Amino acid sequence: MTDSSEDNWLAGLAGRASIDATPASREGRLLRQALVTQLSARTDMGTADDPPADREQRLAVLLEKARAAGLLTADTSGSAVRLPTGRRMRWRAAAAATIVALAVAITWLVTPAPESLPVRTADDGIVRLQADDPLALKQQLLQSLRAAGVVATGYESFGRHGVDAELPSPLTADVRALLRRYGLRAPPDGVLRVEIEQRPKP
Amino acid sequence: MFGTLAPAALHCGRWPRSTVDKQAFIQACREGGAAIERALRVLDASYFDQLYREGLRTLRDADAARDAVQDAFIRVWQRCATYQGQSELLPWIRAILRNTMLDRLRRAGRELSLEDEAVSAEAERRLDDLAGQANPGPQQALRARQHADCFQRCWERFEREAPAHAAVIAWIAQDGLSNEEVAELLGRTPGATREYISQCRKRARIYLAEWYELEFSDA
Repeated sequence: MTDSSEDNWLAGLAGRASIDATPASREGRLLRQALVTQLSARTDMGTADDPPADREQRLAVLLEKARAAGLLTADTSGSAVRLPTGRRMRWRAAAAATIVALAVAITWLVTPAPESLPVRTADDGIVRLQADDPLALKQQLLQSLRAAGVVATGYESFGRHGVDAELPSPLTADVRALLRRYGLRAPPDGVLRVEIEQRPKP
Repeated sequence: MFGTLAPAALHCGRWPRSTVDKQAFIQACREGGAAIERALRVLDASYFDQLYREGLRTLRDADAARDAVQDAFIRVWQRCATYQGQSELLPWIRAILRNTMLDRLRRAGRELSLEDEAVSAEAERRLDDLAGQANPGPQQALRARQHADCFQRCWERFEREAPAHAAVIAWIAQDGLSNEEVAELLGRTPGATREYISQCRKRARIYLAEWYELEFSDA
């Protein structure tokens, strides 16, 4: 299939083609028609008519997830919750800093240093690495990110390994250290996208 | 130092309960903490139902759809510093939801290569021939039900076995996405996206072969 055939198919599928200008656009248009019919039928499934009790429960889960992600700096849920006083906050901050420092130190000690990685960043914001064993590097990177408290997802698509991760904003010290360690720059939008390809043999 | 917060205060301030204002969103992003909690409640009240329906259409599972919307709300705040108010909030959040669902679908999908699925070049040619035939005649209307059932069966298998590709095709059809818009959604270059869309088409031809045959044979 040629690029032009693909473009015509996409135009038909997206509803932008003049009626059946080409076989490819006809193929796309018919698929679009069938899909739109099918998807509208499915809309009836999702009434989302939750009773208030369920909505409150859902909100509680959402806020818990937000807390776990570090978005809510203080527990303000429930009735009249007292926030930490200055002294208690300083203690908590000191304890948290110690735990983070220990976690980072342990991660540094148990994680083997990555092999030397040629890095190039394309205009699309995806960092592309090369490695002798892309799968191993992907797993190592995932492990390091998760150890630093980052939600990261690994995938394989068309033979290429990749990692997508949402970095905290602002970056924590351990995430900054991790990025330095892998020679990665902090992405401006906070979303780290890495693709790892096989290093060419010399 | 901070005093106490009565629950009622969580619903007050600049955020009316069912309206999401861009400037208030940006301000909550700057303030963080309790402001984000208030904003999360407003986002949930304003957008959950709509986003949940989209999630349900794509994921076909109520729990998965609810989780995906909530994960998207969390990502919204992790990325909120990048939102400058240049577009409306809902499309921006919906793009984040789709990205979240793609991650889930990638994890759930078997990610077979096309070679594994033994694509038949002959079948490809056959579809090209059929697609080139004349427009269907009135007989098609009489067999519409049969075609719709066949499509549903084929499409559901496509969704089960190649969920990410099926989702991207559905979003293109629903919203008329261009190559550039799909590239933005996938976080890939336009060139890599063109290749991805080509793979989507090839997979659609495999999974929908029976339906294509019916549809095009009615000429």
